[in-house]
Amino acid sequence: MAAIASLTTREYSSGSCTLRITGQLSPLSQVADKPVLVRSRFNLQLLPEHEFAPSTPRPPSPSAAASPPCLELSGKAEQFSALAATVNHYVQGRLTLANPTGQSSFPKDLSGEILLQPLGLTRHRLILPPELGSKPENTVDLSALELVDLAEVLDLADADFYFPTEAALPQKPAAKPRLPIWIGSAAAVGIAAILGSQWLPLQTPLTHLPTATREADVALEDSPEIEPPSQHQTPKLESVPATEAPESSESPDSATVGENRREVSAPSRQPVTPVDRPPSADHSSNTTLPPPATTDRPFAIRETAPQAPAAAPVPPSQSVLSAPTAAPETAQSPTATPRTNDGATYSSPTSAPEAEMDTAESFAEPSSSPQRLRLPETANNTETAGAAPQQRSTDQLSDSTDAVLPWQEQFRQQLQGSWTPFPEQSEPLRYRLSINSDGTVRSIEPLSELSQQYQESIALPAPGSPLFQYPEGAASTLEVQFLPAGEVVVMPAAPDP
Amino acid sequence: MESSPSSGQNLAVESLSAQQLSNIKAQLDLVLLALESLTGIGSEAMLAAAEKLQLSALLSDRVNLWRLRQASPLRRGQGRKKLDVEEARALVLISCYLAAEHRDSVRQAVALLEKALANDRPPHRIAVLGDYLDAFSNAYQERMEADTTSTPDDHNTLAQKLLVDLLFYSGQGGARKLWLALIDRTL
Repeated sequence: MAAIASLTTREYSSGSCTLRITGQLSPLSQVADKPVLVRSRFNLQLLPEHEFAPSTPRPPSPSAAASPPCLELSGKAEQFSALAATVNHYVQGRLTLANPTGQSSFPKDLSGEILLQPLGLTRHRLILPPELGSKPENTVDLSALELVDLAEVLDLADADFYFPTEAALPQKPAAKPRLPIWIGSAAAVGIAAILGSQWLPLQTPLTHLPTATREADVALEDSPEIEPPSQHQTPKLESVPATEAPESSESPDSATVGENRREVSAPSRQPVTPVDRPPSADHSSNTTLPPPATTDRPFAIRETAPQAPAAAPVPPSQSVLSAPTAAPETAQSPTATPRTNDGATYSSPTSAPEAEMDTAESFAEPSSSPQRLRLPETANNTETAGAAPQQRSTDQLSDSTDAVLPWQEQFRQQLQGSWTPFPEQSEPLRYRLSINSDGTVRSIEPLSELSQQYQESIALPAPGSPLFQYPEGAASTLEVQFLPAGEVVVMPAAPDP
Repeated sequence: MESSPSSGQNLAVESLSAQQLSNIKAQLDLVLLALESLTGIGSEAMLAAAEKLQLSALLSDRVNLWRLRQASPLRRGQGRKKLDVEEARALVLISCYLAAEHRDSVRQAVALLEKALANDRPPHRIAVLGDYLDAFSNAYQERMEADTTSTPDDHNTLAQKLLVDLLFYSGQGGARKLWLALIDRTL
């Protein structure tokens, strides 16, 4: 209703010319020196000259006129402005001319479309664009009186209102919400953290394996039967030699699942020999896992470094080895990549001391003896990264693994509770924590300039302070990330070279 | 339609060169001469208009008015008064005010002129136009310097042009149109 109430119609008459303007009164009228009429349209009628005598009053409405108008124009504000400008300039040019009968030297085409040409002292030709005139013929000859009347009504309307064109009106801003700039960076960092925790172990020269290992992940996640209880697997892992690992699989349904099962149940003592393995062997079946001799090992021998002390009482040959679902990510060549990014280390599973070796010692020559891949914080990593499929893999972890997890989670929760992202933080703050075997923090190393800048502002444990529930005897190196989104990620990190 | 006293506020008061002012003085005098010839008004009407437009300080009496009009370079006589911008502005306002007051007469004369030209009839054959043309020609020859090159036809053409111009000056924004025309003619 407000829009209807703001509509304004004004009619101007001068002699034989009548101009009617209808538009919406803009709120800008309150601050302008005259009303502002937006979305206006005009209708201009010019009656024949004989219909009007100078001494007689003009009919109030053109509809009352007996004869049809000789000229009728309709249009928007743009056309009105163009017509008014053309007429005004033409009239002014005529008034300036010393020789009224001559051709006007004044520009005739100021609007680009509407033209006025002199035909003598008192006759003028108005040439209109087709879209403006209501008649097929777009040429109208005007007398001096008609031209005066036309200029009169145009001047009157122009003096009463502002007629902003549509182009001059402010455009409505698009209702597109503008997110903060740091949202993109935070999302990218978050995604990178999640994906990085999954794929960092794959950043080895054996990058030809991930396709198969990803398939293995999917197969493992989708197949509940391939998550056998660790208690059931443990004897197999202990007793079945590497060459017999495929035989221990219990899934004959499909090759993929079968392979996955073989990998899950593969013994941890499987020697690692993927270095010399031809890549074609892995690429030959993208939907299936690599041969058991090379790929089942990571599943079987994945174990966290802190777990080694917990599993220490168990003889090496009987060490509890689980098959986490994220194992394919670690299917890589230890010789090509002695040290993985997430701290995964290869060690020989043949002896308990090797299982207890620290990370530096765990980079043993894999080709000489059955290898053991140690991914200490894999389970915790997946938890903090929010990788749901990998969270299920924690069920498959051995008891020793479960015994190690609480301290990392406790540590992460401790950091999480005291972490509040900085407003201007655009990237994660990363620190490498070296932990002594007695559970005390040995050193804290910022991994970026920004991290170094904020190191004093973050409630990291001071060097020398003990970590809660840290299993003694297990030295480790952790990487702690404080994400801009407010999340804290604790993951195993490669030790200092 | 009458021009409001404030309509003259639209006229830009700028410093004009001597040549520009000289042309302006001549043109203003001719406009008033055409108006006098058509309507028969005299100095009394002009002084009354000046008073109504609150321009009495500039046009207080007949002598002052005469001196202003005598400033035209076309006029006979010597020792012309210099016309400043405020005085030129006052003459513009008065001319348009009087033209608006006699707009019907102006319109009728223009309508007759159009009809005569359309019918190829000599304008002086039409009574109103004949009286106007005669009055203008006589006043021009009486008051202006003798010009051996000009002919009666030139006077008639000038009178017809001034008649049509008066029609525009008598309407909305007439004073602005006249002022701009004066400025444009001096460029």
